[in-house]
Amino acid sequence: MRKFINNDKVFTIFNYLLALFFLLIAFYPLWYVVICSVSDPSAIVTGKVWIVPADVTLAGYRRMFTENDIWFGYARTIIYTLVGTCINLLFTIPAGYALTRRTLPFRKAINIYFMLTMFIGGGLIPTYLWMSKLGMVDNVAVLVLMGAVNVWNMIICRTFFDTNVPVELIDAAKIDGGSEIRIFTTIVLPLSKALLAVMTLFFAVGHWNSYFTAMVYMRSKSKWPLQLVLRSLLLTVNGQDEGVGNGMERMLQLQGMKYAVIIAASVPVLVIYPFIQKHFVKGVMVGAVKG
Amino acid sequence: MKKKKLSIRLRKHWELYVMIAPAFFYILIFHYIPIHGLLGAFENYKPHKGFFGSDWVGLQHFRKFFQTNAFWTVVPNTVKLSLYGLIAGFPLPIVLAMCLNYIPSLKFKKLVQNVTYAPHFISLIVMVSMINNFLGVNYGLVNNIREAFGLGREQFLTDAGLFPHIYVWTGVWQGVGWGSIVYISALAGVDPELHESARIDGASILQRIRHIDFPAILPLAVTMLIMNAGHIMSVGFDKIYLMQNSLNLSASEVISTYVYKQGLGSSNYGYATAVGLFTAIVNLIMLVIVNTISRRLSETSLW
Amino acid sequence: MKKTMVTKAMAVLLTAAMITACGGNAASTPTSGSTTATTAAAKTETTETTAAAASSAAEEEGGLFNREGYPIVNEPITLTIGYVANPEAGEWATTDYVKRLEEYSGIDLEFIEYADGTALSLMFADRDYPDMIMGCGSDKQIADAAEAGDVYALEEYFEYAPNWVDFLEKNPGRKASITFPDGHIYSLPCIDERADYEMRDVWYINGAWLDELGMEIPTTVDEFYEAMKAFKENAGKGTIPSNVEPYYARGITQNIGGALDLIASYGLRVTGESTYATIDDNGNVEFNFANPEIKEPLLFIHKLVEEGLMSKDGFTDDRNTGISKESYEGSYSEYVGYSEGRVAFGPLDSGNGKKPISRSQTSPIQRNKFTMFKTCQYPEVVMRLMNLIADEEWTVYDFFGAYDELDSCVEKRDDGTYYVKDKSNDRDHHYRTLENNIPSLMSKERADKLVFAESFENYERAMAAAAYDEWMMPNENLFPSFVYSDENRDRISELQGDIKPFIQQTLNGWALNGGIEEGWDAYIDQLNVLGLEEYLTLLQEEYDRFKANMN
Repeated sequence: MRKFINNDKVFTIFNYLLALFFLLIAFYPLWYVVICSVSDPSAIVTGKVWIVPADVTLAGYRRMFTENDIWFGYARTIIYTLVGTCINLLFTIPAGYALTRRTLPFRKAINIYFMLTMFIGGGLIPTYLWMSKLGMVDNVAVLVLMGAVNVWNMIICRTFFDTNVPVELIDAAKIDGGSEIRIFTTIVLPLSKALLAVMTLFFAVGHWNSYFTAMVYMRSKSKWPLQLVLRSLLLTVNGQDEGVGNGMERMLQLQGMKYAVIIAASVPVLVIYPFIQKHFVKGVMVGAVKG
Repeated sequence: MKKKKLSIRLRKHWELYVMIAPAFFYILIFHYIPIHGLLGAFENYKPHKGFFGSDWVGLQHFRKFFQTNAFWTVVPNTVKLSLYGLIAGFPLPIVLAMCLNYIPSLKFKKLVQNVTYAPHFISLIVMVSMINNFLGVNYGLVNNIREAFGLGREQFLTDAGLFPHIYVWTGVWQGVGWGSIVYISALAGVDPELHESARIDGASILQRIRHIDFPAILPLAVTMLIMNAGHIMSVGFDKIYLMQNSLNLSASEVISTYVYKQGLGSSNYGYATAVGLFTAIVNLIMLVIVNTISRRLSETSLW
Repeated sequence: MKKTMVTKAMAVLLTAAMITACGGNAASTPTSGSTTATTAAAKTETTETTAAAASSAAEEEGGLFNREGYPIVNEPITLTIGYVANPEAGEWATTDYVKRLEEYSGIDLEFIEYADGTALSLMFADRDYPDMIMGCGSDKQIADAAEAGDVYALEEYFEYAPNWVDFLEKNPGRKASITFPDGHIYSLPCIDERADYEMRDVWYINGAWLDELGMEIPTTVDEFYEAMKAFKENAGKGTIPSNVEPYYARGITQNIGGALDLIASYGLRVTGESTYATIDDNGNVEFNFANPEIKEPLLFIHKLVEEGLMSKDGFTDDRNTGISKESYEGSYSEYVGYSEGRVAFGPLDSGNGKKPISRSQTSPIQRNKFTMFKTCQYPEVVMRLMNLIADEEWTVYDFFGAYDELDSCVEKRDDGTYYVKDKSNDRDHHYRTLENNIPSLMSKERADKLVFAESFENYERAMAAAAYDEWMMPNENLFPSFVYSDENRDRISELQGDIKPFIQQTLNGWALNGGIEEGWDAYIDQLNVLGLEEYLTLLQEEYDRFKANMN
């Protein structure tokens, strides 16, 4: 008996160390970006920045404020994210709910209809050509519509409703003569706050971070979302093949502000997420894959 | 339950169909209609002839893919990266979940959880930019450290040999916290009485982990494994594409980037479609195989 | 087609009405920079006969546009130009060059920027063409679009582009280069025949260190070896840094900064990474790296590596890193060098009895800089615009920046030469141009009129080019750049894709770790497995077709 308790103590100590290790590994790179964003670039280059900022300066942020591309991109991304997330929720959650209703004719067939898209698709070019026919090229509608239904998230919704909304409750409401839509909005949704929170976060983060759709479909820079602006700022390919690379000066400017840009781009997501975080465990249900 | 006439049942559920309709039509327009493009895999596709008018070449593109030398780099690279990612990325979330499950301090547990989830939300653009900044040869943190210890500066980002490690471990860094959520919730679902009675019987924490927690999350772990196996032939396109450079290409060229370059870079639409289709088919086969094995072994199945 | 005809007729009617209304100020008086107009006019005269013979489409004459003189159009029209974003050129619409071009031609230019090759590719797939694209488009994309009938055959409108007719007539090789296999010209190139462009890297050695050591600039491989050895042995003394890298090359086969200059010193024909092929004196395509004679230079390179006289890091460095290390490098190859005390030297006598060679530019013609699509309703106007861009003064302007103005980059002298000042180095200078992204025409005779200021970065290259001149490989030995036939194009690029990485890896491995003698046979075997024979056959086939086109 005693021995076990001792063992458990040792275990707990090791366990704390392990957790601390995970914590530091996750935390340090983030912290490093933060301290770099307020340090002088030359201090970073010479390796003076480790634990705390060195030669503190807000020059990077100041520079960033002069880059109009970033701010316009920011504003556009906020709009795309808001509209896109609303569409996502509207398309995904009611459908996920309806598919949990076992009396629904063709339920299985509709399920398969959705599931199949996880494995088969037309690919980029046919989709592009089709979108072009629909007038979607260089049209912001494509940014908010593309990915409007995420089948994987729909499955999570389905599982959540299946396990968290008692069938009896719905049946009772039906006997009282409630319409399906009323039942959904007045009974089911209030029971599903955790799911709503998590789905909102998933979709919003997805929109906030997406760049590929915009890269393919958006011709005008005036419609670019933030991530695409960032891509051209942070990941510019240097070194042309002929002649001499002369982007050097610009590269140095970017060097000075890139950490500030990284922070600015990530802050909105990191700010929202603690509010939603507490719903994670409940919202992302395990049975997700059972279905 | 006795079945009523179909038309009556349909009418009775019209509201539910309305709820499904947006998603249904979205999928129809954005997913199913473009599928006709798969025809291109069997054609000498020319934009002006379209998918229904281009010359039929049968399986020529597939044969060509199997014969080209690229086959022997992109397929192994893809499998290597996804297997490595699976092996490195699969157990750690479980370890983290177990670890957090036995942290007595609720505050500390919450802190670790919050911080380890955070990297998941960083966009890939920012992530790759961070990788470049950390590992860059001239200003990178890691090289700064190396220099401080008197070691030379190294070209991490252009070293094909290092590419899989950088790719996989940065992925693990980003995903471990997030991946642990499902296991944490599964562990939270374990009946506390089981633990209580085990403790009374004198079981140590390690024993309880082995005999109570582990069996509790096993079905889940197997399911996750199956899901991942279904993607063995497709590693994430975006991150690799953003991390590629001409010098690490021998390790970083994977099927998805190859398809992308063939289709859009070299305008070999038909060929690229064929390679993409081949990948999808292999993925599906893998999924079925692993699922069958798992059903035999642990009675866990996707369907 | 019918539709365009109708629109054209409408446009003509409309402009005619406009001109009468405005009192007809269309008498082609150039607005500014009249020198250009006169040269262009003179050029036009020389080709008048051909133009007149072909002029059947003269219906617009004196209407929408002017056949001669500037502005080109009498009523502003808008043309859309697609281009692929390139951080070096920035936004085209805001360049000084474009503003002047618009002002001078009277044409409004509207630009569509494709974020990258993907966007361009999708544009082709979707056939959603602008009026024209500049600086982009692959042979395959253009050939496919031409097959669909979406691209103008430019030779049909050559009467409006006497500058091009003139040049192509005098240079059948260039004409053969840009002619597609179906015999049409679908795109115009950027021509750059400056001697300093036609050579590849300048090979540098640090002359200041040699002076300190009392050594001469090496002229033979042996002297080169001694110099490298001396750099190493005297590291940390004088101005030689302690971490000196005596010889620095970024691998063996790198186009820029590779060890090819050293290999060419052995009298071996080697080019950079385009085809790895040259033409032997009998007109046969030869592969550069299957020749057992490359063993000798590679053994020498391995010796340098083994003795610490050649940087191992260089083999994996990217170009910017190589440039950033130049001050530690005793000898290196670059387009333009930056290290203090650098001197251009080479090629070296290897002592094997062969005449050393200096390396030529890999692709001396830069193709596909302009393609016009059938969406464009004013092909004649566009061709006149291309003629303007290919004008002598406009070409000089595009290459080096504006002239004959306050704070200008170029000064035109009375003897017809152009004095290029060092301002031209500064690409952020307010005279921003489109450089080699557009079909400018720097022919040899024009290039001969350039005089570089000593402070201009190309001065050094021009000097080196003069010094290397006698060693340069004759143009006949260079595998030309031209449009492959549809049947062979994909296969050639596939084979290249397989062969190149293998060669790079193997040669680098031999240089670093040795083993060339033991590994040679297996290397040749593997090349054959990868399809070297087929590759050469296809190249030969294409080259023969190219030669036939020239006559």
